[in-house]
Amino acid sequence: MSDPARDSAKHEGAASRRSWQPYVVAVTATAVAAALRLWPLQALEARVAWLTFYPAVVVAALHGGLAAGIISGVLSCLTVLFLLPLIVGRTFIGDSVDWLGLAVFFATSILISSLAEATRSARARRLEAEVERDRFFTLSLDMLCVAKSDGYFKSLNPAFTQTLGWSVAELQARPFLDFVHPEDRAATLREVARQVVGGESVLSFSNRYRHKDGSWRWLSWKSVPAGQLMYATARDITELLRAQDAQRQLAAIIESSEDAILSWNLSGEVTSWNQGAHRLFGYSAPEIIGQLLAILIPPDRVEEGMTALDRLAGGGRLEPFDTQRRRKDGTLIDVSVTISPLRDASGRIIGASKIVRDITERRRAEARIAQLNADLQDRALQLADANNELEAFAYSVSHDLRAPLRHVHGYVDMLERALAGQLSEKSQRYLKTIADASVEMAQLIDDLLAFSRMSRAEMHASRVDLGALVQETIQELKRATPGRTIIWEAAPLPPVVGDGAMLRQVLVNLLDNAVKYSRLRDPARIEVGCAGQEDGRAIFFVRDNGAGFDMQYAHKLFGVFQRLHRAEDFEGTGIGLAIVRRIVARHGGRVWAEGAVNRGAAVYFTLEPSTAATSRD
Amino acid sequence: MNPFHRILLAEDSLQDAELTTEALTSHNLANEVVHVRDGAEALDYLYRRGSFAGRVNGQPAVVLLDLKMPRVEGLEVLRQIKSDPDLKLIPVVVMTSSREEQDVVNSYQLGVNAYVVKPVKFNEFADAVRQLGVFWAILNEPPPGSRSNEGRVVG
Repeated sequence: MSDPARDSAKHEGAASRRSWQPYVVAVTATAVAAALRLWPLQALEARVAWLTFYPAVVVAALHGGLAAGIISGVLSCLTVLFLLPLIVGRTFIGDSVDWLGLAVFFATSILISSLAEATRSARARRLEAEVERDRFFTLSLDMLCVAKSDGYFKSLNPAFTQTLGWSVAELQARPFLDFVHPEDRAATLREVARQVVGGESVLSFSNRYRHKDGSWRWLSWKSVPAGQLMYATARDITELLRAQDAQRQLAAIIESSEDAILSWNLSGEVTSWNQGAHRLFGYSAPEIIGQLLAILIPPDRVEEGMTALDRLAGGGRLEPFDTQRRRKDGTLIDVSVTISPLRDASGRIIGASKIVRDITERRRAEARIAQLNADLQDRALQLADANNELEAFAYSVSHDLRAPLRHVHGYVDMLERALAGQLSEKSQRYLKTIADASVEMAQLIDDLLAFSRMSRAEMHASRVDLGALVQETIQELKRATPGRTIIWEAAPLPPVVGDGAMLRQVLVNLLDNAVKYSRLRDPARIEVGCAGQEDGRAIFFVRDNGAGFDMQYAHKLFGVFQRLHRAEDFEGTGIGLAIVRRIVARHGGRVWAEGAVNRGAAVYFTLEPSTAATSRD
Repeated sequence: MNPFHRILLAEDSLQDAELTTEALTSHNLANEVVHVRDGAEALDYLYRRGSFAGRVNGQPAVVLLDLKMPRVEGLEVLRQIKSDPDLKLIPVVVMTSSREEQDVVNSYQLGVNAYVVKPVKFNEFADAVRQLGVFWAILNEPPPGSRSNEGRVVG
């Protein structure tokens, strides 16, 4: 491949060299003709001396064109008229016929020169056209080629190499169909046949050619047949197709978006409108494209639209803002809007695009959440009020209800002493009943307060060694029950998560009950253990062989002041198991009981086992 | 003669006051009891103002203080006694019906010397009061300035 710049420089150098060359040739040819006339043609003497010079003029004209031919003709005439006579010493032009002959020679010389010139310049023009064509062929960025009907490329320009990677020689070495994608070969053959057989031009045909690196390039062809040849141009449209694909995808995404996406030009006319916009605003695309965007803006928000335009003119993007827009049917909708400027290829702002999201639902949800929060706060306040009232109530009970009982007991006691010796047995029993009743009521109040305290007290969760608590409780109970035979069977228990003080209360109440209701057994047997798991919680139990209970009343067992035994048989107010249930419930567990009359009872409760991760000690 | 010391009993309930006095009688401590009906009176007594402006010198050997009283309640009386340099040495025993934890904690934080829950049973109540009277009014050596020279001021 030749460098066009160097080519033209060479041409110019040759031309300047040739500018004087024709005249040298003309002079030389004329001189040679004169020499020939002197020798060996001296025998011609003075006859038709100019004839000898015709070849010189022809040579000069053919070589150097019009000017050279005329110079040669003029020199020839001068030679005949003056030089030869000077050398030979004889006149060559004597009579009028000689002059006529010389004149005809000169005229003929001019004619010959003109014809030679015409031929020469025609050839030069042709050459120049060829060079230009070759240059165009070589330099074209489009692919140009000539293909033969036998299926080979006749010639190809370098653009093919740039696009496909193969050298021109490589492309010419094989049938061009070899380079075509197998799926496109049939179509390619059809197009070739249309040209070669039908003589039709191909104006738009695309197929895939293999690049040397193995990839496929989409080429778009235009081709004109001429006999057995096809003159074709091709363009690589791979990137274009890829861009079109990407654009199609983007368009599909925009079209299928739930949000309304639209654009408008600087005159404020809508230029694009997706399905989402149709759904949101009620206008179809054909209805609104070309219309003024302002019809979407409620009258009281026109100002807002102007501000937005000013901001856009500065090139900025508008952060999403919440506003209202008007639908086709006139209703207003709450929307969130994002506006971005649109620019042309040179960066000039030519309009804007807008994404509009319907936030009516979101607004409604926000309002609902706000309402729920307000309700929740109300409830929390009510609960706090109720708690405070409960505190105040408990405090008041603690103080005010106990004092009168103390007075009753105190004055009964003083009355007894004041009337010492004067009271009948009956009266003494009455007074004792009054005193006992006051004590019992005080106990009930204390129990009720204890129960209320367990419900109100703050819980402090930590890892609790339930087994150790059981052992401590058993030791205390042993000290409290001298003279009784109790067989204690305490299995090892897994540690749990909970409030240590509260869980101690649970064990105290349960074991206390077991001791109490097994009072008539000798030996009494009290068992503490773990009975597996339930929903990730460990099941614990306390079992005794005591009085037991009737299972049909099991549901009453854990109620406040509920008793299944007579007070004469077993003392107590019936608060213990209620407290147990409340504490276990506060730990997220449950409690239940199994038993049979005179065959003992078992109380089960569940607690969260402590894992290493929750261990705190 | 026994070096009896005065006992200031701050108690709004006449019954409780009578029961308390009754319990102290058996140890001949009743004569030394000064009974006031609420916190304001108790403070008036200690500061010798109002109806107590003319009382005899000296402070009680012990104050038996109920918590729930009209006008100024017990904890406030306790707070004022224990924050006054002139009064804070006086032993104060809270005697109340309440076993609420907050009352116990508050009392000890304010510097109470003892906290006694009044038992419902009279014999237990009487025992408790007697022991308190004997301990604070007889056994305990009071801070200087609480010796009684004259009889009781208010009955």
